[in-house]
Amino acid sequence: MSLDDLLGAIRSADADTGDDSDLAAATRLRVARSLETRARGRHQVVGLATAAGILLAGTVSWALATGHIAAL
Amino acid sequence: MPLMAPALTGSNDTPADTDLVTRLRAGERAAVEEVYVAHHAAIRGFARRLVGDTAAAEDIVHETFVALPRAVRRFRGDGSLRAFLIGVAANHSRRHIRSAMRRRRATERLAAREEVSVRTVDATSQLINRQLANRLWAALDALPIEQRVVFVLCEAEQRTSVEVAAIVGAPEGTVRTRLFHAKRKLREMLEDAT
Repeated sequence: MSLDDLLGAIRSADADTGDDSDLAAATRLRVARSLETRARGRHQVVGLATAAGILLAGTVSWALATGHIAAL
Repeated sequence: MPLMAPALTGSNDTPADTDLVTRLRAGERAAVEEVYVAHHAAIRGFARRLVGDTAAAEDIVHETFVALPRAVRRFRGDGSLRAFLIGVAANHSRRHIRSAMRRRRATERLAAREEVSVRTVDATSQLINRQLANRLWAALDALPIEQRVVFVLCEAEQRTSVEVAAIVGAPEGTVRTRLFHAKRKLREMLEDAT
């Protein structure tokens, strides 16, 4: 076996698989779904963080208004 | 830590690519689709030559385009988007190279068992071809990933050391050194295998 045999095997790795259109379309769909899932996850994190922020601000405001913070 | 940071020099971006990069940075998902349509074949070809396994190569293509909206922040716009994408694909290839290696070893073991039961001339020649291909890929599997990437880009894709240096984000001298060591190791391994 020689380096040329190896190069031949590497270069033919792309040619051996025939028609790629179905595979390319499937991967395109997979990419789109993955990006959508990520975006949804990011929105959920932002939503949860916003809710937690509102809850914290409300609690602090309530504690200030009712004198609970001053009592501490 | 990423294997390499694609930082490209020498402007060969088209205005269309520049527009796409701007839209990618703005987080447009449609821009990822457009980049996929324009560059998927080149990335798939590179991934197949790098790992020698269709399934693993497809996973690399998937991960490259999913990582693109974040990775594009590193793109300085002074090189081609395709070369940048190949760099991203190379960064994501480490895990897939390992899984392709495992699959090849399993096929090799299976082939060794089949060898005893092969009856027809066709099946025998197929088996010999597969074993030869597996041995050749096993030699490539023994290289460190940095050398493997440079070997595939320079020798299989016949890119210049300047182009490869831009893709892998390493100095041209480093690329030549990696290629030299890769070829020397491969020659030794292939001679030992015969």
